[in-house]
Amino acid sequence: MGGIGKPISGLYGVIAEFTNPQDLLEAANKARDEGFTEMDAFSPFPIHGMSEAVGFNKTRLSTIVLVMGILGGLGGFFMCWYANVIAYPLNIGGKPFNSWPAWIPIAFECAILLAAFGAVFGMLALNGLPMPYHPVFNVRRFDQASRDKFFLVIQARDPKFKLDEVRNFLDTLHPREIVDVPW
Amino acid sequence: MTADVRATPPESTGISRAQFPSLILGIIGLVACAIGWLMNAQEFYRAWLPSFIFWFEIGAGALAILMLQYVTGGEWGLMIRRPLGAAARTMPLLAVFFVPVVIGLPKIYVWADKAVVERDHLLQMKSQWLNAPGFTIRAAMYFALWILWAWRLRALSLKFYEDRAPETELKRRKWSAAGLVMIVLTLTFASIDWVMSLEPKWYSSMFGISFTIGCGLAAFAYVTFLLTQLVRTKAMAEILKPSHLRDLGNLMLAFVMLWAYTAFSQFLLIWYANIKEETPYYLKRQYGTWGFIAIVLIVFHFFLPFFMLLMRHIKDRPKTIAIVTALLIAMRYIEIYWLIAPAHQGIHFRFSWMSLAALVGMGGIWFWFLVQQLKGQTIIPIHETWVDEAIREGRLKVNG
Amino acid sequence: MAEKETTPVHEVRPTTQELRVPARFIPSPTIEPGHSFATITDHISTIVLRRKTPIGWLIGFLISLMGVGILTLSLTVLVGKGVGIWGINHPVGWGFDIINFVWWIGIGHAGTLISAILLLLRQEWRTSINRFAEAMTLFAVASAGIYPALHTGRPWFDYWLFPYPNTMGLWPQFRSPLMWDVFAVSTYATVSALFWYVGLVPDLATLRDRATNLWVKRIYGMFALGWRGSAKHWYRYEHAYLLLAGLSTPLVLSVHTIVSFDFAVAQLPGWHATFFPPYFVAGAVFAGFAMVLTLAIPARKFFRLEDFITMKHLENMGKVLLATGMIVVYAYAMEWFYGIYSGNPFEIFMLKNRATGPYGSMYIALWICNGLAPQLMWFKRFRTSTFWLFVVAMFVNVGMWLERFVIIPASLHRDFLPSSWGMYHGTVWDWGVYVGSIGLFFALLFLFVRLLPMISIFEMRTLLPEAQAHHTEGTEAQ
Repeated sequence: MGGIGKPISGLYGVIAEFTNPQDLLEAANKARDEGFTEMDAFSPFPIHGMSEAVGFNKTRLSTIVLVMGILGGLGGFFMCWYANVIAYPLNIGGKPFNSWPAWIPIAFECAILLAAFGAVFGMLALNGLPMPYHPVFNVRRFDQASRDKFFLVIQARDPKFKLDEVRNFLDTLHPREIVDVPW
Repeated sequence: MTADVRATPPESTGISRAQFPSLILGIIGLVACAIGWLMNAQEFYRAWLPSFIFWFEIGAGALAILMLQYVTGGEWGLMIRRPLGAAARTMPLLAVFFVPVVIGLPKIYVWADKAVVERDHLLQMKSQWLNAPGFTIRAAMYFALWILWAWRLRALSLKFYEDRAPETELKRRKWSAAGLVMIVLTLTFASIDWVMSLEPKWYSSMFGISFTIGCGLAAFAYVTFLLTQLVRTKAMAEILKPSHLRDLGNLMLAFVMLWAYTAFSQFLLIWYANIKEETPYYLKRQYGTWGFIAIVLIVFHFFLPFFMLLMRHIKDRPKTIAIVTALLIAMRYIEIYWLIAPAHQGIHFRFSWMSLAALVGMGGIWFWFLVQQLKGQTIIPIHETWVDEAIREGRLKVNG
Repeated sequence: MAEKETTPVHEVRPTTQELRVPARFIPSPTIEPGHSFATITDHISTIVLRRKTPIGWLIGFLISLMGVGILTLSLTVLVGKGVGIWGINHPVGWGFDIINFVWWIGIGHAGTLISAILLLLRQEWRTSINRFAEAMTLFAVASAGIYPALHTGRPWFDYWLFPYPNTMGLWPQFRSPLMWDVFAVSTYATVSALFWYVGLVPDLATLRDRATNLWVKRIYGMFALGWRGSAKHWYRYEHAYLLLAGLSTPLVLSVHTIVSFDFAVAQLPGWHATFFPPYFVAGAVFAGFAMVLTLAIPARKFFRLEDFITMKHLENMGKVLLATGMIVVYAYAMEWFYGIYSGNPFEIFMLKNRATGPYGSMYIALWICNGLAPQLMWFKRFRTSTFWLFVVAMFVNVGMWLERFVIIPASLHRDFLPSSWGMYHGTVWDWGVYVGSIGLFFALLFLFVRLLPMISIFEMRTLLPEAQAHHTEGTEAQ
């Protein structure tokens, strides 16, 4: 999922730098129209429509969260039931052993807890994070990607990747700079 | 070439075609009620109350949500201001529907029965609040306030159309903010007077809040259902976007959760404390058919709509969200019946044909009246500045 | 349709019609003009990355540390001698410990409300205050956690509260609302921390890239998890963030609901009221927004953040204060109505005792602080004055503490039998823990504003108009 792929002769891809989100979005759209499939865009904030432009617009995160939430709720309820009905039944205030209304708050909390774990760790896992090293960090100006610059990389593993053609193509998009990204 | 949708009156949405059949249905229902009254007046009065509360909830909830919309001004209100305003202006009709409750007071409310009160010390103490003149005067006050606000907001909206002055909009917002305070208080006391006092020794401070949320949910379900029916017509189909329905669906989801929250909290606290003044209320409602209805409410008033409204592809499509709203509207009636009828019937479930007659009778007239209120203005509030904005920015598509 | 022509309602005005709008109706912006992606980034990250620590920060931090010292001392004595050093005894078994626990937890709620509910409601103005408010939530929960952990009497056995198979064969008693508290508060702390951290990751990447010192770079880099702003990552990230907001919203309601259950499941007049859950939640949001105002007004001045935390933010918070204050007033008033309506002599006695008994003056003060003071927020003049906002917020901070005092000891101190009546006063150690927990809260906040960006940088960038990219024709995405 992380999208690093196999090294092709020491080259990860070619990266182009843009100065505003509009240019980046147009560049990504053109690159997709050109037939490139293995690319990624980098920006200091989420840009509406960007993930579709790089050919990615679905995630299983909602399903993960829903399943985790249901598991948590059922698990929390079962825990209370098992502890106070099977393992250690106690008469408290004349209440029935299976005091189901009293299990609801804990079942609810467990549902939320597991669903939140699903959302956070699911997102990190699907994104392949943490990933301390990534080839794009080799680009000298890439630290601007977390400030005010925008990058588009076309990966070497793309079936249409030919170094010169990619460089020429990126040049037609009027980027600020084009750099090869080494591994 | 079609007409500009912003100038579409509701007549062209085809809604007025349903008006006449609805009136006939209403008259048939009311005639049946009259026959029922002749046969058994007590049964008629007791059957009338839940059906009245059902239609009342939509009108009162619409007024509350309209004011909430004027105060917060989110885009979710774009499509629903006019239908909400029209439903809020059915208040005078609802006041007329309330008359049988006042007439049948001693037959509906045990505290209005002098013979019972004489023998009961607690009811004598409570008669300072629970007495027939007080009940009637308070009800008249509630209706007067609701009607005042419904018409005041309409007048300010019309004025805003004329002058387009931000001052007018601000004034409307201020009236709405004050109106929200008013309506929460009046609905609380109305719910105490009309529903909670059916079992005069029982009380729960959550009841007013729960009732108010029920009103809001009923109104959201009504207005969303109306939209899904209007969208079949050409006039609406081109401006109603999936995102509008999704917003309404999300708000309905919030209200479904709030409803479950208040209902469960009240139940848990009463179940847990197990005080003898309080617990019989639920014991009665857990028995036999009432208990079955309680489970139906848990499943179909909470779990099913909750999971359906979580799914985007259900919220976005008029056909599917119409099913959810219809379900919720039906559940509102069932819950109201479950709250009211056990007070009279005890543990024995019974559903009188007169309840159905009252439901249809009032509903038929109510819908006819509603369409009357919708007429003579566009279905979308075209004069609101932010509608212009939405059109300009392309958020709202205008055909042509 | 001909007869309808006289009515103007079908007429369509040109959408481009010029509207002459008086200046006072033009909404104030959520970010002052003249900023770019770079200036936002630099302005906020410099507060963290500058080498020189401002002297004002040092003074404030040292004062807070003194509070932490008091806390350490009070807790040491407490663990050594037991809860007998507190003012609690029969009939008042819950005192400052529970008052302060509820007070702190309540304050925390505004953070989650701002970050989650306002996000779902698409309220853009939340963006510049959510990070700060979330941090406040975490530290308030940390301060709150001290009390229930220590009021058990033998805090070294607190792990018995968690359900785990053990050699004693014991299981917790899940019918107890105190067990619900354990789950609610720990879930709340965990999810709030996750929400906060997820929001921080892109900004930590910014700090990593902007830091000049190698070790600073490495530490921020480690916590940034290798974030690189990939479009695919952003997509899942936004998705996860929305889901977390959707989960946090019912969670935050449930936490104070469960806190209110602690009281409302009992049969005690003054505690057993079915509307306690929404009443407590509204009170929590009320208290929390008051605390956000208390902190934000000085902070924006000290760190020169007026461009990002504008008058619009403060005014909106004033409005939330008013709305939640009205709910709280509704509860205070309805308590009287239902008490009298019930006809229950114990309920009526409790209400009379509350207003005219030994703690009557606190009840009156409570009405002034929470009932009267927020009514100023009806007027724009007060809502847009930092001075008056701060004054009202301080009133509410005090008022919400008084509210918990009125609910807890004032309901307990008159037992059903007059022979069991008593009084409650906090001892020096009660006050010590309270003052100490305030010190801890502020110490953590000071560390936070020094070490982490107190305004979400990446979300502020999205507020700029140039952040919106549009599809151009011919390149329709699909």
